[in-house]
Amino acid sequence: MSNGISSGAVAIRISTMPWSPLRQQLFGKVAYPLMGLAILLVCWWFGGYLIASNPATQSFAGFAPAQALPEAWRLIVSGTLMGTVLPSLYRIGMGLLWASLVAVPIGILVGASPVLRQITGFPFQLLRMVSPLAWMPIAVLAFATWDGAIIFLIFMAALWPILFSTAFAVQRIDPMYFKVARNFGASPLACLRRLVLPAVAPDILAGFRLALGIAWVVLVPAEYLGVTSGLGYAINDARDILAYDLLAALVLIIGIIGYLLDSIIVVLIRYLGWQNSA
Amino acid sequence: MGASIQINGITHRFSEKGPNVLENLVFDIAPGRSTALIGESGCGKSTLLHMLAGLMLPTEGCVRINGRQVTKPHPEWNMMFQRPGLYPWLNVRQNVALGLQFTGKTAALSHRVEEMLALVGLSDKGSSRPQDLSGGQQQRVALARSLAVEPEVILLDEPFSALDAFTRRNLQIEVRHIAREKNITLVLVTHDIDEALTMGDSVVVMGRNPGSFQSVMEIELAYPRSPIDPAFALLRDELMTRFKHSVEGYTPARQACLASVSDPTNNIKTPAHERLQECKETRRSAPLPINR
Repeated sequence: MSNGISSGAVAIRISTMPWSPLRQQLFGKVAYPLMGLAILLVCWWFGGYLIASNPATQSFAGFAPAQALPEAWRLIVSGTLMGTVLPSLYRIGMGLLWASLVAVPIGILVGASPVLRQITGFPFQLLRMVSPLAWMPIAVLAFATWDGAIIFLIFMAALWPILFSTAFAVQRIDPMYFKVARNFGASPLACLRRLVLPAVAPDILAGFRLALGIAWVVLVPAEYLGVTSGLGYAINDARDILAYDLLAALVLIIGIIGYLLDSIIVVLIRYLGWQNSA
Repeated sequence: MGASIQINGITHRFSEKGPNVLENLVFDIAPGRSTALIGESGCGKSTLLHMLAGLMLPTEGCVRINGRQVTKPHPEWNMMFQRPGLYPWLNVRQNVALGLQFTGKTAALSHRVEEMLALVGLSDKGSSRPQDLSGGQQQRVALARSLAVEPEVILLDEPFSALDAFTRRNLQIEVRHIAREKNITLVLVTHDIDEALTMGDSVVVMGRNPGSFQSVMEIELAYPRSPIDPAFALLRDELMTRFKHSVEGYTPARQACLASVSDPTNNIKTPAHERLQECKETRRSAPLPINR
């Protein structure tokens, strides 16, 4: 009887024994992501194999990793990648900067004023639903340079996520915080600086992260417009000259840069976001 | 140095044609004294406290602190709320400094903050986040934040009601002790009769419909006070009786006799309509910095 109880207790102990923190960290941060990457590579390799083994699609065999990865390495070591990436980063940076400069103040006003929220609700939702690329003809007409037009398209893509997340964040600020500020006779400017901006900063960054994702997606088609530099232009050019290995290498590079930019924002959110410290 | 408070004929309605929620309130509080307001829920205790803080203005009458009519909030008379309202993006030290920064008193800020943290026994928690502290510690931080601006009056709106009994009792004794040391005038709103007796030099019982002062009781016990003291128990019984009378209904006779039972240092001899003449025209309500 006593043996039965003790073996049962051992069984329970084994089944509920937690993983060691190191093992959890090793799997969570290294093994599982590597596993995901490996699955992606296998899928890519298999797709390339299918394309190469079919006579009808054989000419697109450059998409396979065996061709694309050396091409990506060649782009990096030859230095041509920097010349391609930097103009794109400049455009996306300017687009996001302008979007932030416009969206944050408007978001704060809309979040703070119920009347303004009522007035802007319909027009903002309507404009938000328009694809950023639908502004292309207007951008071409309105801006003297192609760069200006592309930056405008990125601005239109990034504006709404930042604006809406800022407005919602202002609405969600605990009224008690305002009461405390008033209690000390805080001026509206001091309230903005010491209460509103820090309170909404994590949400602004979350909106910025969303905006970056959308802007990065919009960048490639936007760079089909007239310009002779940037990742979008390079992809279009690779397609025109039937260099599918280069095209696949650029797609890979776009994905990696997008991932890195997103990771930077995640680190910023972790560093600046007070909500994580709870 | 504590400030005197004059409540001059306050009557208040939340809307133009609404009923009076407070009616003809007249009372004086001497500098450095502690006054507890007790009464049923809805009798207007918190509303009155908000008026003392300048967070709300009365429909008629006014509040004067050290002779200055209260028309807006001021760091010299600040309020401690039921929730401490600490900013979670700031650490404890920065939260204590907040009042000083809002009021622009940034000279010797860090020295003052450390001094206040030491006073409330949280010197080792300066770098902690408020959300990592217990409820009692959070209220201590709120107290340090209030004290940092060197107020003459602290208004307490049930600040210990969400705390456990032991923490509450400790904080009641500490706050009263600090206020006595610094000669700060305290006005406390509470539902807890023991709290009123532990912290108050006088306890004002309020009645409702409309909110009015029903009676004032002087508490002449030495500090720190203990609920197991027989004299404390007797005062509790007396206060309970007065509280029950206030619940039974508004009695004009009680209102009339208020002046006679009132604190001798208050010296209330003038009727409400005469005290009204001491008030300048004010706006009915002060706007929030952000219209929410």
